Amino acid sequence: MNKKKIYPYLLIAPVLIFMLLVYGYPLFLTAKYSLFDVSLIGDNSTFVGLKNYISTLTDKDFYTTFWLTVKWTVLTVGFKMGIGFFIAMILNAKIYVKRAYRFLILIPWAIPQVVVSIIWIWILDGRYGYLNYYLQRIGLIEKPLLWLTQPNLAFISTSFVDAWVGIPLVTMMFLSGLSAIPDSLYEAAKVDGANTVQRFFNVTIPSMKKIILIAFTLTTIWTFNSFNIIFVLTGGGPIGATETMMLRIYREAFGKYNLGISSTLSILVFLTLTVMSIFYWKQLEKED
Amino acid sequence: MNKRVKKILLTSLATIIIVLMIIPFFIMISTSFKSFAEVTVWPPNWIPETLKWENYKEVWSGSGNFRVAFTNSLIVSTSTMLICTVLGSLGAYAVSRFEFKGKKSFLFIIILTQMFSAVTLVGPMYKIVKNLGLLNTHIALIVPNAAFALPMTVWLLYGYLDGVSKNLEEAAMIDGCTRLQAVRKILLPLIAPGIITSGLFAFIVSWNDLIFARSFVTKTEYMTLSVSLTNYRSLFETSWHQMMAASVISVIPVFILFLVIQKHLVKGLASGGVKE
Repeated sequence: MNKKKIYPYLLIAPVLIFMLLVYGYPLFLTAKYSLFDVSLIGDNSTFVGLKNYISTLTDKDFYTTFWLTVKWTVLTVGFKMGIGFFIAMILNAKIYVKRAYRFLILIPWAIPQVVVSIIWIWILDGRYGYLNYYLQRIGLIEKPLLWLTQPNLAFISTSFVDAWVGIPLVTMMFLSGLSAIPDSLYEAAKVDGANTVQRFFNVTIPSMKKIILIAFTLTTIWTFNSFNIIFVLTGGGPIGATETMMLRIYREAFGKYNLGISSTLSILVFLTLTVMSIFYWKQLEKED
Repeated sequence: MNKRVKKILLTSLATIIIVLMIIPFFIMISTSFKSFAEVTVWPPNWIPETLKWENYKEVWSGSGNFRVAFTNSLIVSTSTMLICTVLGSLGAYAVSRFEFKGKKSFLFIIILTQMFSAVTLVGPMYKIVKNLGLLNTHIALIVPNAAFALPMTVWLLYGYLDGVSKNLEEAAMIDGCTRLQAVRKILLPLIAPGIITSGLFAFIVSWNDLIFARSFVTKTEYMTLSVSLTNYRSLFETSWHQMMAASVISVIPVFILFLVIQKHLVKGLASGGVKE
């Protein structure tokens, strides 16, 4: 092999070696531990074959957590995509102070997630929280609501806060797509007599299809994997109402020290997300 | 409708949205300057009667002792940033400047890593860290954080490098520069904003980390800000004024960085997400 051909391999070698050791090896261990009866502490482990998978897949709790995660993800991704698209449309329109707004919209994303959660715990506080106060004042509610301690409300609150953090990035992705649509397309549609709504559905949406698909897939993966926000806001409670797969995986390992089951759950999550991603690549290929 | 009226209406709508999105940020700052008594006053004061700078003093060196946590976070995040920048630049340079077998697979692996959350790997990682005797050290946080930030660093840098034409370096090399000279003298100055941006991205990822910090560190002297904040909350449940002061402290560094890079970061993220 001549010298020139070795160059790129030498250059990517550090990244590859680092990733293999720090990322690849634990990933391999996760797969391995899913076949073992193994505790987080202590050194003993026994090979149990597919026992972890069987006990997980026959456990009613697993499906409860799984559906809860799916529902939570759908709701949160809905918030992020819907509100994100709306904000992107507004910020892409002809408005004043556009640049400043495009910067300000990024603030929620720039705040560390632990801090975000703590701010929201304060805002959503049952007794002194801002939200309850203002909702009562405008007469929407009579008594303060327990946003984080009533199961259904906690489910919605965690989803909303996670969306609050995620919206800026989604908005940015959509904005880059919207600003790439040539004005001439809109002009042409106008000449053909299309009204605003028709232009939206016949020009904007088709031109944005690919970006919507990419944003949707990435957002879904990120949201499915969301941990910090829920962990600090509710810790998975009350009575498991916000315990998504990620919180469950963490609790199995660091609460119950059951690394075997925790790893099994991780592998099942990988499989779910992989199937989803393949679906996404297929869709993208179709687009091309 | 009059064009100007329309523009004013849309701007007002945008203003309402922006205000709604950043209100929590203001609540944090305003609460951080209130006294304990003022925190629970209804209706809430948006601007505190007097600015209580003592809150900051109290959490910085008093009961919260956030100074230690702040220093730890700085050490961990800066180290993560350095590792990611060095390794990431090499890798990104390879994929943007050379055609080689396995390039596509390399990029695919980079993207694939985005699917896994730190939570799913933290268990096995804990075992490794423990067996290496590295629990309660900075390195136990730096290395895993770097592994999670590195793929995105490579991806961002790849985007920036691709935006700079190869021709300039090639011309320099024809004029007798070595490749290294061409990179140092021509490419590096052009790509500097990109390198800084992706490095700071890694810094932010690491600054945000809660999972590794919670799992690998139990001693106060090694705790980072995210863990100290969550612990502080469970200890002093009603000290909202101090908690918000601590929050502001942990936002400041990220915010400064963010102000520096926001223009470049947005561009990089947007193109990174859309690129094939």
